[in-house]
Amino acid sequence: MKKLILGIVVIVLAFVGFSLYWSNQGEEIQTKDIVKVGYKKSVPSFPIFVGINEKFFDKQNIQIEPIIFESTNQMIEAVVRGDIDASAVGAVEPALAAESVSPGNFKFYGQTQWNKENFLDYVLVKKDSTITSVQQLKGKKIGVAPGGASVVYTKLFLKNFLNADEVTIEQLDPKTLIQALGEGSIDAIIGNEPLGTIAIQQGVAEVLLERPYTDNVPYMPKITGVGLLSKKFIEQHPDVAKRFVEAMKESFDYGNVNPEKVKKILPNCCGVSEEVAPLIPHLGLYSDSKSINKEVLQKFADFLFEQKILEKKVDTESIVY
Amino acid sequence: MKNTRYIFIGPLVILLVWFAFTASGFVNPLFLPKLDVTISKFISLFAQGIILPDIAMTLYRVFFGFLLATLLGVPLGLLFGLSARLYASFELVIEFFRSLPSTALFPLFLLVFGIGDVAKIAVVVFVSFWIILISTASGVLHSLKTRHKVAQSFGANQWQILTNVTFMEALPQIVTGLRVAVSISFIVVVVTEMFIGTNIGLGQRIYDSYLTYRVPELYATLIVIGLLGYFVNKGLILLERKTIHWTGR
Repeated sequence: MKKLILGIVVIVLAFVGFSLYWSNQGEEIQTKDIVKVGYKKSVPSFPIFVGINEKFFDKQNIQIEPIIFESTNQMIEAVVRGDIDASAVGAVEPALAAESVSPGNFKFYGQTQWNKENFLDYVLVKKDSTITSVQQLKGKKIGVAPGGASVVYTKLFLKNFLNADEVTIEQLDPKTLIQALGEGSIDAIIGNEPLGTIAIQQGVAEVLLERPYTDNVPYMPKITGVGLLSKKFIEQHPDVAKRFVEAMKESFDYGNVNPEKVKKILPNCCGVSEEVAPLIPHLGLYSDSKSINKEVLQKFADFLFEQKILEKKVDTESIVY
Repeated sequence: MKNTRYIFIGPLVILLVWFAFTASGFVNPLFLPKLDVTISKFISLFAQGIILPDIAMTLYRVFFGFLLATLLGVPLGLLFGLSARLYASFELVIEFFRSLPSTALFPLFLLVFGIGDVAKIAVVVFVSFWIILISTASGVLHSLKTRHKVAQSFGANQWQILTNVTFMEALPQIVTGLRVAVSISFIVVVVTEMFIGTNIGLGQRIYDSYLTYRVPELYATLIVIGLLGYFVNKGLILLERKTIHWTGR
């Protein structure tokens, strides 16, 4: 009888113990602040996943809810609509364009930059092409990503080598650039990583020139991407926003110092295959908003306005978090 | 014809709602620009002639592709329509290709034809061809046999029956197919201009405006496309009324 009572007591205690354990686990999850972050499958999205993998967000008591998008524009619109609280790093031009149309919807919490040592842009020609210099692109077709900014940047790059009007610039969906080069519809492409590495790895292309945009578009180091934080989210949850930025800063620093470790996570998050990821030479430089040079950012925005990429002037003073 | 006076009521209601939404600040200008700004952009696109090359290039792609599809689709449709057995033999093939979404074919057409106009026109031909073929074949298949017999009894030969009876009877359905095909061609060309490389075209202008959030320009271009589609369709209806007066008899 005593054994039976003892057995029941042990079972009850074990049950109570487990219940308490699980309820605490639940509380722990519930107390974490959820931040919805938009990202697209591209290299600059990696800091979000570094933060998740390395538990930088856990440290800040934040749970990230990653939401995938097809393009930077879609992420920006989702931030403006309030569908997401923040975005991974995406192209800077559409963010400035959105700010020019409808100011005050978001702030930049971080940036990526390219410089002479750390860049992602290449001019590629078909493997074994007879084109061995940029000057030989005269009368040829060069494929670039769609958008007015790509065309303006490509003209700026070309005019340092030849008359830019003598080259036909074709805007193409980035997914079709390699294919178009391979089947000979175009003679060269300007591709950002991982496009360059993919084209080389597939045996389709070889590098004609490094850094066409980095070297020829003004204001170095060039701000190429920015991460957005919804203004509404900042106002409603200032403390969470601050902790999110702290975690992102740790992720940025980790990415800058450990590019080889980052390359290992690219296949799971950023649309880069396991074969290509280790071959990508650079990932860009990442930093938080405190490192954004406001003067350079304003000059760059003015330059985009002068080049008619932006329809209205943008005041960047208040856009940095 | 009496109802034509009401034609502007629908557009006016939409413009009024648009004005009310944007003037009240209810909608973010990133998603819907102010009506006056859009109208001013619409006017400036024409006044400065910016959009004219885009319209010309889009229309060229639409009509060249449509013309090729018609030249291929109508004769083949007649052939399939004249023989129910032939049509049955190829029905699976026709339905298979007709069901393929045009957007899914972009990579294939890019691979085969490259990024130039040929690829864009080829997509239009491919999509329109099946519509024209089926409408033509169906028109012929459903033509009244009594009329054939009457023509035969008057001593008409096979060629005369085909051209003067069968074709004429199928013509209303062929024209209906052509109208559907031209509308689809418009859609396909705009989409190909957005995603298969080009520097000129209404689709390219839409995509470029979107990427850099030139929202009034995006809406103005959409209005241009809508108006072009409307007028092309109305033109075809008018042509149909003037030329195929026996429709429904």
